[in-house]
Amino acid sequence: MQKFANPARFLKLAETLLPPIWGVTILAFAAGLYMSLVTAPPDYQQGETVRIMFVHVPAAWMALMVYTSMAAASIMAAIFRHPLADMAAKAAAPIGAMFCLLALITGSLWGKPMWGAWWVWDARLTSVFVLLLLYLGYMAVWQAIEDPHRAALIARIVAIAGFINVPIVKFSVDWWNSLHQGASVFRMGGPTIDARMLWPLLIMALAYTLLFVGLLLVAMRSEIAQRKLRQLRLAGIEGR
Amino acid sequence: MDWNAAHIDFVIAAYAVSFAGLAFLMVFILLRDRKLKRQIATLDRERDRRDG
Repeated sequence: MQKFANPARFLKLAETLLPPIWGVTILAFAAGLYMSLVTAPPDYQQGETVRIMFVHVPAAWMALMVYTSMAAASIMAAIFRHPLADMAAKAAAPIGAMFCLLALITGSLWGKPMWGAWWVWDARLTSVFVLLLLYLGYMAVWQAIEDPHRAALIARIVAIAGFINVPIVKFSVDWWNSLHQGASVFRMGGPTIDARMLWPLLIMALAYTLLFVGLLLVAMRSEIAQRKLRQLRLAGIEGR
Repeated sequence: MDWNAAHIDFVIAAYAVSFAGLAFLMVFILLRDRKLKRQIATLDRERDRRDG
């Protein structure tokens, strides 16, 4: 990882990786949408409404995965002083926040016809809402504190401390009574979901993951550019 | 997919919201990247002109 600590090397790598990532992302979304809307069968209880799963579940998985990667990057920044680690966490936050928001909205759109309510304050929904607040809090730290070193330090603390919520989200359906269904893919004993529904779900999850990687690379490139811009402006002020 | 099934409007809304949200995110990130690149190029030009 230290090999890519050099921003110039990272930018070169991003430039090489982005075109194939965008290509595979488009293919994955096309295949995932076709399988989700055409080949996947309706559920015997939920009917066509089950198709919301193919956009809701990948968004929820990504919301958890992105926060986990932000916490991991923050730990790397704190221990190894990797210069790109804080940038990676900062760049990932708005992407993760959007996935989290989409998981909440699509969950609500699924909840209304199935549970008869747009929202209930049960453990899973509340813990995902807390995750969204953690994302917003993390982003607010970077916005509110002008000194980038101080902002990075406080943002790291928020990311690492907030990680405690990730296992709470994951196991909330096991620890407390919940309207939300339990795990049916990542569980001991393997998935309980039918293969005709599992494959579209996995392909959509792949598409969301690739989109995240592509957007993260662009957002990190922007962070490097912003840092350079700050240096150029400072040099300009000193040069006058 | 049965377009006349019960609650189909919820399915359509979920897909529409998801893709609108992802498209907004993409446009926001790509435009910011482009804007920053342009600003750096302008500052680089100004610095070169100043330094001769």
